Amino acid sequence: MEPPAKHEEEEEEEEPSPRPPFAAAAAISRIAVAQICLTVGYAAAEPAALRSLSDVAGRYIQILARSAASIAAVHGRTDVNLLDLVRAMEELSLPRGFAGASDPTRSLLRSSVLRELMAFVRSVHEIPFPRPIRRESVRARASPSFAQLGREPPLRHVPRWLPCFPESWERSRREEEGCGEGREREGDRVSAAVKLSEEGFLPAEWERVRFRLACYGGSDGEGKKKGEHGVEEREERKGK
Amino acid sequence: MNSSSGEGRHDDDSALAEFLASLMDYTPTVCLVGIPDELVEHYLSRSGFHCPDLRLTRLVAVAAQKFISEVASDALQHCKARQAAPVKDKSKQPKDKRLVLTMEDLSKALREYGVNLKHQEYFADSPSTGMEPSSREE
Repeated sequence: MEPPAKHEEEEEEEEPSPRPPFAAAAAISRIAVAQICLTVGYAAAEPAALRSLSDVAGRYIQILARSAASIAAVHGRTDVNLLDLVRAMEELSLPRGFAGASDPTRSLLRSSVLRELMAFVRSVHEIPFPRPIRRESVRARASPSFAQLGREPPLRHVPRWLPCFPESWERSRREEEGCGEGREREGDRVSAAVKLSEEGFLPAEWERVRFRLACYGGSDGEGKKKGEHGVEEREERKGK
Repeated sequence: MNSSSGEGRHDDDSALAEFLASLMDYTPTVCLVGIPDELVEHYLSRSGFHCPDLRLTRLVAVAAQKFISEVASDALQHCKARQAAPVKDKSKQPKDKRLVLTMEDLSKALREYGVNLKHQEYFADSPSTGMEPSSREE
Protein backbone atom coordinates (compact mmCIF):
# COMPACT_ATOMS: atom_id res chain seq x y z
CA MET A 1 0.00 0.00 0.00
CA GLU A 2 2.83 2.34 0.74
CA PRO A 3 4.21 3.02 -2.71
CA PRO A 4 1.36 5.19 -3.84
CA ALA A 5 -0.50 4.75 -7.05
CA LYS A 6 2.37 5.44 -9.39
CA HIS A 7 0.72 4.14 -12.50
CA GLU A 8 -2.58 5.66 -11.79
CA GLU A 9 -1.30 9.04 -11.03
CA GLU A 10 0.98 9.04 -13.96
CA GLU A 11 -1.85 8.22 -16.25
CA GLU A 12 -4.00 10.82 -14.63
CA GLU A 13 -1.57 13.58 -15.13
CA GLU A 14 -0.73 12.76 -18.68
CA GLU A 15 -3.89 14.22 -19.88
CA PRO A 16 -4.78 17.88 -19.71
CA SER A 17 -8.24 17.71 -18.27
CA PRO A 18 -10.71 20.55 -18.74
CA ARG A 19 -11.01 22.60 -15.59
CA PRO A 20 -14.36 22.17 -13.91
CA PRO A 21 -15.46 24.87 -11.51
CA PHE A 22 -14.51 22.76 -8.52
CA ALA A 23 -11.23 21.60 -9.88
CA ALA A 24 -9.63 21.20 -6.49
CA ALA A 25 -12.39 18.98 -5.18
CA ALA A 26 -12.39 16.95 -8.36
CA ALA A 27 -8.65 16.47 -8.24
CA ILE A 28 -8.66 15.48 -4.60
CA SER A 29 -11.46 13.03 -5.06
CA ARG A 30 -9.69 11.54 -8.05
CA ILE A 31 -6.61 10.85 -5.98
CA ALA A 32 -8.67 9.45 -3.14
CA VAL A 33 -10.52 7.16 -5.52
CA ALA A 34 -7.25 6.12 -7.10
CA GLN A 35 -5.99 5.11 -3.67
CA ILE A 36 -9.11 3.11 -3.02
CA CYS A 37 -8.70 1.34 -6.37
CA LEU A 38 -5.13 0.57 -5.46
CA THR A 39 -6.13 -1.09 -2.22
CA VAL A 40 -8.78 -3.10 -4.01
CA GLY A 41 -6.09 -4.57 -6.21
CA TYR A 42 -5.90 -2.51 -9.34
CA ALA A 43 -2.52 -1.61 -10.75
CA ALA A 44 -3.64 1.15 -13.05
CA ALA A 45 -6.70 2.92 -14.29
CA GLU A 46 -7.95 4.57 -17.41
CA PRO A 47 -8.20 8.29 -16.78
CA ALA A 48 -11.79 8.38 -17.95
CA ALA A 49 -12.77 5.52 -15.68
CA LEU A 50 -11.06 7.10 -12.75
CA ARG A 51 -12.77 10.38 -13.45
CA SER A 52 -16.17 8.75 -13.69
CA LEU A 53 -15.66 6.78 -10.52
CA SER A 54 -14.60 9.85 -8.61
CA ASP A 55 -17.59 11.67 -10.01
CA VAL A 56 -19.76 8.85 -8.74
CA ALA A 57 -18.07 9.15 -5.36
CA GLY A 58 -18.84 12.86 -5.19
CA ARG A 59 -22.41 12.28 -6.20
CA TYR A 60 -22.76 9.52 -3.65
CA ILE A 61 -21.62 11.83 -0.88
CA GLN A 62 -23.90 14.57 -2.08
CA ILE A 63 -26.94 12.34 -2.39
CA LEU A 64 -26.27 10.87 1.02
CA ALA A 65 -25.89 14.32 2.54
CA ARG A 66 -28.93 15.68 0.80
CA SER A 67 -31.19 12.88 1.86
CA ALA A 68 -29.87 12.98 5.43
CA ALA A 69 -30.48 16.71 5.51
CA SER A 70 -33.98 16.33 4.17
CA ILE A 71 -34.77 13.61 6.70
CA ALA A 72 -33.57 15.94 9.44
CA ALA A 73 -35.69 18.73 8.01
CA VAL A 74 -38.74 16.49 7.98
CA HIS A 75 -38.24 15.92 11.67
CA GLY A 76 -38.01 19.64 12.27
CA ARG A 77 -34.28 19.89 12.84
CA THR A 78 -31.62 21.82 11.01
CA ASP A 79 -28.69 19.69 12.15
CA VAL A 80 -28.29 16.15 10.98
CA ASN A 81 -27.80 13.46 13.57
CA LEU A 82 -26.66 9.87 13.45
CA LEU A 83 -30.16 8.46 13.02
CA ASP A 84 -30.84 10.62 9.98
CA LEU A 85 -27.59 9.55 8.47
CA VAL A 86 -28.26 5.88 9.07
CA ARG A 87 -31.70 6.23 7.54
CA ALA A 88 -30.20 7.96 4.52
CA MET A 89 -27.61 5.19 4.15
CA GLU A 90 -30.36 2.61 4.32
CA GLU A 91 -32.25 4.47 1.63
CA LEU A 92 -29.22 4.49 -0.58
CA SER A 93 -28.58 0.80 -0.13
CA LEU A 94 -32.16 -0.13 -0.96
CA PRO A 95 -31.45 -0.96 -4.62
CA ARG A 96 -29.21 -3.80 -3.54
CA GLY A 97 -31.15 -4.57 -0.40
CA PHE A 98 -29.88 -5.14 3.11
CA ALA A 99 -30.66 -7.49 5.95
CA GLY A 100 -33.69 -6.52 7.95
CA ALA A 101 -35.09 -4.11 5.40
CA SER A 102 -38.45 -5.85 5.54
CA ASP A 103 -38.95 -5.11 9.21
CA PRO A 104 -40.50 -1.68 9.64
CA THR A 105 -39.95 -1.66 13.40
CA ARG A 106 -36.23 -2.30 13.25
CA SER A 107 -33.97 -0.18 15.34
CA LEU A 108 -31.92 2.23 13.30
CA LEU A 109 -28.90 2.00 15.54
CA ARG A 110 -28.76 -1.74 15.01
CA SER A 111 -29.22 -1.45 11.29
CA SER A 112 -27.34 -4.01 9.30
CA VAL A 113 -26.06 -1.23 7.05
CA LEU A 114 -24.32 0.34 10.00
CA ARG A 115 -23.01 -3.00 11.11
CA GLU A 116 -21.58 -3.71 7.67
CA LEU A 117 -19.94 -0.34 7.76
CA MET A 118 -18.33 -1.14 11.08
CA ALA A 119 -17.05 -4.43 9.70
CA PHE A 120 -15.68 -2.60 6.69
CA VAL A 121 -13.81 -0.11 8.83
CA ARG A 122 -12.39 -2.91 10.89
CA SER A 123 -11.21 -4.75 7.81
CA VAL A 124 -9.71 -1.89 5.85
CA HIS A 125 -6.36 -0.37 6.54
CA GLU A 126 -5.93 3.29 7.03
CA ILE A 127 -4.60 4.96 3.91
CA PRO A 128 -3.32 8.42 4.60
CA PHE A 129 -3.92 10.95 1.88
CA PRO A 130 -0.57 11.63 0.19
CA ARG A 131 -0.27 15.21 1.26
CA PRO A 132 -2.08 17.56 3.59
CA ILE A 133 -4.78 19.66 2.03
CA ARG A 134 -5.15 23.33 2.62
CA ARG A 135 -8.51 23.69 4.22
CA GLU A 136 -9.37 27.02 2.64
CA SER A 137 -8.90 25.66 -0.81
CA VAL A 138 -11.74 23.24 -0.47
CA ARG A 139 -14.03 24.19 2.30
CA ALA A 140 -16.47 27.00 1.88
CA ARG A 141 -16.78 28.96 5.06
CA ALA A 142 -20.21 28.75 6.60
CA SER A 143 -21.66 32.20 6.86
CA PRO A 144 -22.86 33.23 10.33
CA SER A 145 -26.52 33.67 11.01
CA PHE A 146 -28.26 36.94 11.75
CA ALA A 147 -28.54 35.97 15.40
CA GLN A 148 -24.81 35.31 15.66
CA LEU A 149 -23.99 38.70 14.23
CA GLY A 150 -26.63 40.38 16.34
CA ARG A 151 -28.30 41.95 13.32
CA GLU A 152 -31.90 42.12 12.32
CA PRO A 153 -32.77 40.49 9.02
CA PRO A 154 -33.64 43.04 6.34
CA LEU A 155 -36.92 41.37 5.50
CA ARG A 156 -39.53 40.71 8.12
CA HIS A 157 -40.37 37.17 7.09
CA VAL A 158 -36.78 36.01 7.38
CA PRO A 159 -36.09 34.23 10.67
CA ARG A 160 -33.02 35.26 12.61
CA TRP A 161 -31.39 31.86 12.66
CA LEU A 162 -30.85 31.86 8.93
CA PRO A 163 -27.42 32.77 7.60
CA CYS A 164 -26.91 36.37 6.57
CA PHE A 165 -27.57 37.45 3.05
CA PRO A 166 -24.50 38.09 0.98
CA GLU A 167 -23.21 41.62 1.29
CA SER A 168 -23.55 42.33 -2.42
CA TRP A 169 -27.19 41.33 -2.41
CA GLU A 170 -28.05 43.64 0.45
CA ARG A 171 -26.19 46.48 -1.17
CA SER A 172 -27.98 46.11 -4.47
CA ARG A 173 -31.29 45.89 -2.67
CA ARG A 174 -30.65 49.11 -0.81
CA GLU A 175 -29.78 50.84 -4.02
CA GLU A 176 -32.94 49.57 -5.61
CA GLU A 177 -35.04 50.88 -2.77
CA GLY A 178 -34.19 54.34 -3.88
CA CYS A 179 -33.94 57.51 -1.83
CA GLY A 180 -36.59 56.62 0.74
CA GLU A 181 -34.63 57.07 3.94
CA GLY A 182 -31.98 59.68 3.41
CA ARG A 183 -29.64 59.44 6.34
CA GLU A 184 -29.38 55.68 6.34
CA ARG A 185 -28.59 55.58 2.67
CA GLU A 186 -25.83 58.10 3.12
CA GLY A 187 -24.21 55.93 5.76
CA ASP A 188 -24.58 52.90 3.58
CA ARG A 189 -22.95 54.58 0.65
CA VAL A 190 -19.98 55.55 2.73
CA SER A 191 -19.57 52.05 4.04
CA ALA A 192 -19.96 50.68 0.53
CA ALA A 193 -17.22 52.98 -0.68
CA VAL A 194 -14.97 51.90 2.15
CA LYS A 195 -15.69 48.31 1.38
CA LEU A 196 -14.97 48.81 -2.30
CA SER A 197 -11.65 50.42 -1.60
CA GLU A 198 -10.81 47.63 0.80
CA GLU A 199 -11.56 45.09 -1.84
CA GLY A 200 -9.09 46.72 -4.14
CA PHE A 201 -11.44 48.55 -6.42
CA LEU A 202 -11.09 52.21 -7.09
CA PRO A 203 -12.24 54.50 -4.31
CA ALA A 204 -15.44 56.36 -4.95
CA GLU A 205 -13.87 59.82 -5.36
CA TRP A 206 -11.46 58.69 -8.04
CA GLU A 207 -13.93 59.22 -10.82
CA ARG A 208 -14.19 62.96 -10.44
CA VAL A 209 -10.44 63.36 -10.27
CA ARG A 210 -9.98 61.58 -13.50
CA PHE A 211 -12.57 63.70 -15.17
CA ARG A 212 -10.69 66.88 -14.27
CA LEU A 213 -7.45 65.38 -15.44
CA ALA A 214 -8.90 64.65 -18.80
CA CYS A 215 -9.90 68.30 -19.07
CA TYR A 216 -6.40 69.53 -18.41
CA GLY A 217 -4.60 66.68 -20.11
CA GLY A 218 -4.94 67.95 -23.66
CA SER A 219 -3.60 71.43 -23.05
CA ASP A 220 -0.63 71.10 -20.75
CA GLY A 221 2.35 69.02 -19.63
CA GLU A 222 2.81 66.24 -17.14
CA GLY A 223 3.87 68.42 -14.23
CA LYS A 224 0.72 70.40 -14.21
CA LYS A 225 -1.33 67.28 -14.39
CA LYS A 226 0.31 65.88 -11.33
CA GLY A 227 -0.15 69.09 -9.45
CA GLU A 228 -3.79 69.27 -10.31
CA HIS A 229 -4.20 65.74 -9.28
CA GLY A 230 -2.75 66.36 -5.85
CA VAL A 231 -4.79 69.48 -5.27
CA GLU A 232 -7.92 67.82 -6.35
CA GLU A 233 -7.41 64.93 -4.03
CA ARG A 234 -6.77 67.17 -1.10
CA GLU A 235 -9.92 69.05 -1.82
CA GLU A 236 -11.88 65.90 -1.98
CA ARG A 237 -10.65 64.78 1.38
CA LYS A 238 -11.51 68.13 2.90
CA GLY A 239 -14.97 67.95 1.44
CA LYS A 240 -15.48 64.60 3.04
CA MET B 1 -38.04 4.82 18.90
CA ASN B 2 -34.40 4.07 18.53
CA SER B 3 -32.98 4.45 21.96
CA SER B 4 -35.07 1.63 23.40
CA SER B 5 -31.90 -0.23 24.11
CA GLY B 6 -33.27 -2.31 26.92
CA GLU B 7 -33.27 -5.94 25.97
CA GLY B 8 -29.80 -6.95 26.94
CA ARG B 9 -28.27 -5.59 23.74
CA HIS B 10 -25.81 -3.42 25.50
CA ASP B 11 -22.91 -4.99 23.69
CA ASP B 12 -24.33 -3.75 20.39
CA ASP B 13 -24.62 -0.25 21.70
CA SER B 14 -21.18 -0.25 23.16
CA ALA B 15 -19.83 -1.55 19.86
CA LEU B 16 -21.49 1.37 18.12
CA ALA B 17 -20.12 3.83 20.63
CA GLU B 18 -16.67 2.35 20.19
CA PHE B 19 -16.98 2.55 16.45
CA LEU B 20 -17.98 6.20 16.55
CA ALA B 21 -15.16 6.95 18.91
CA SER B 22 -12.74 5.17 16.62
CA LEU B 23 -13.77 7.49 13.82
CA MET B 24 -12.37 10.35 15.83
CA ASP B 25 -8.98 8.73 16.24
CA TYR B 26 -7.73 9.48 12.80
CA THR B 27 -5.51 12.49 12.44
CA PRO B 28 -7.68 15.30 11.24
CA THR B 29 -5.52 17.10 8.73
CA VAL B 30 -3.95 14.20 6.95
CA CYS B 31 -6.87 11.97 6.32
CA LEU B 32 -8.93 9.28 7.86
CA VAL B 33 -9.47 6.42 5.56
CA GLY B 34 -9.68 6.91 1.86
CA ILE B 35 -11.50 10.15 1.48
CA PRO B 36 -10.23 13.30 3.17
CA ASP B 37 -12.40 15.30 5.52
CA GLU B 38 -11.98 18.43 3.51
CA LEU B 39 -13.46 16.88 0.43
CA VAL B 40 -16.40 15.47 2.32
CA GLU B 41 -17.01 18.79 4.01
CA HIS B 42 -16.97 20.50 0.66
CA TYR B 43 -19.66 18.22 -0.66
CA LEU B 44 -21.62 18.34 2.56
CA SER B 45 -21.70 22.10 2.58
CA ARG B 46 -22.98 22.07 -0.95
CA SER B 47 -25.89 19.81 -0.08
CA GLY B 48 -27.29 21.55 2.98
CA PHE B 49 -25.86 19.05 5.42
CA HIS B 50 -25.33 20.81 8.71
CA CYS B 51 -23.61 19.07 11.53
CA PRO B 52 -20.85 20.24 13.82
CA ASP B 53 -20.04 16.65 14.75
CA LEU B 54 -16.91 15.51 12.99
CA ARG B 55 -17.82 11.90 13.56
CA LEU B 56 -20.76 12.15 11.21
CA THR B 57 -18.57 13.70 8.55
CA ARG B 58 -16.25 10.77 8.90
CA LEU B 59 -19.13 8.37 8.83
CA VAL B 60 -20.15 9.82 5.51
CA ALA B 61 -16.56 9.47 4.29
CA VAL B 62 -16.42 5.86 5.41
CA ALA B 63 -19.76 5.11 3.77
CA ALA B 64 -18.57 6.63 0.52
CA GLN B 65 -15.33 4.72 0.73
CA LYS B 66 -17.18 1.50 1.29
CA PHE B 67 -19.40 2.18 -1.68
CA ILE B 68 -16.49 3.02 -3.95
CA SER B 69 -14.43 0.07 -2.90
CA GLU B 70 -17.38 -2.24 -3.44
CA VAL B 71 -17.86 -0.87 -6.91
CA ALA B 72 -14.16 -1.12 -7.60
CA SER B 73 -13.90 -4.69 -6.40
CA ASP B 74 -16.90 -5.66 -8.51
CA ALA B 75 -15.21 -4.08 -11.49
CA LEU B 76 -12.07 -5.98 -10.58
CA GLN B 77 -14.00 -9.24 -10.70
CA HIS B 78 -15.25 -8.32 -14.17
CA CYS B 79 -11.72 -7.51 -15.21
CA LYS B 80 -10.33 -10.79 -13.90
CA ALA B 81 -13.11 -12.73 -15.53
CA ARG B 82 -12.40 -11.11 -18.84
CA GLN B 83 -8.71 -11.85 -18.59
CA ALA B 84 -9.31 -15.45 -17.56
CA ALA B 85 -11.70 -16.08 -20.44
CA PRO B 86 -10.16 -18.18 -23.21
CA VAL B 87 -9.30 -16.16 -26.26
CA LYS B 88 -9.80 -17.82 -29.60
CA ASP B 89 -7.59 -15.59 -31.61
CA LYS B 90 -4.09 -15.37 -30.24
CA SER B 91 -3.44 -12.09 -31.95
CA LYS B 92 -6.32 -10.57 -30.04
CA GLN B 93 -4.77 -11.44 -26.73
CA PRO B 94 -3.87 -8.29 -24.89
CA LYS B 95 -0.21 -8.28 -24.07
CA ASP B 96 -0.76 -6.28 -20.95
CA LYS B 97 -1.73 -8.51 -18.06
CA ARG B 98 -1.92 -5.69 -15.58
CA LEU B 99 -5.18 -5.08 -13.84
CA VAL B 100 -6.45 -1.84 -15.27
CA LEU B 101 -9.66 -0.15 -14.30
CA THR B 102 -11.51 0.39 -17.53
CA MET B 103 -14.74 2.10 -18.40
CA GLU B 104 -16.16 -1.16 -19.61
CA ASP B 105 -15.74 -2.96 -16.30
CA LEU B 106 -16.74 0.09 -14.37
CA SER B 107 -19.99 0.56 -16.21
CA LYS B 108 -20.80 -3.13 -15.74
CA ALA B 109 -20.12 -2.89 -12.04
CA LEU B 110 -22.02 0.35 -11.61
CA ARG B 111 -25.06 -1.03 -13.38
CA GLU B 112 -25.64 -3.35 -10.43
CA TYR B 113 -25.82 -0.36 -8.17
CA GLY B 114 -28.37 1.42 -10.27
CA VAL B 115 -25.94 3.80 -11.92
CA ASN B 116 -26.16 3.90 -15.67
CA LEU B 117 -22.78 4.84 -16.99
CA LYS B 118 -22.75 5.23 -20.71
CA HIS B 119 -19.46 5.90 -22.29
CA GLN B 120 -18.83 7.04 -25.79
CA GLU B 121 -17.42 4.36 -28.00
CA TYR B 122 -15.33 6.83 -29.88
CA PHE B 123 -14.35 9.07 -27.07
CA ALA B 124 -10.60 9.33 -27.16
CA ASP B 125 -9.17 8.99 -23.68
CA SER B 126 -5.66 9.39 -24.83
CA PRO B 127 -3.94 9.46 -28.21
CA SER B 128 -3.33 5.74 -28.03
CA THR B 129 -6.94 4.79 -27.45
CA GLY B 130 -7.87 4.28 -31.06
CA MET B 131 -4.86 2.12 -31.81
CA GLU B 132 -6.09 -1.24 -30.62
CA PRO B 133 -9.83 -1.49 -30.78
CA SER B 134 -9.53 -5.25 -31.02
CA SER B 135 -8.94 -5.77 -27.33
CA ARG B 136 -12.38 -4.65 -26.42
CA GLU B 137 -15.33 -5.92 -28.27
CA GLU B 138 -18.60 -7.22 -27.07
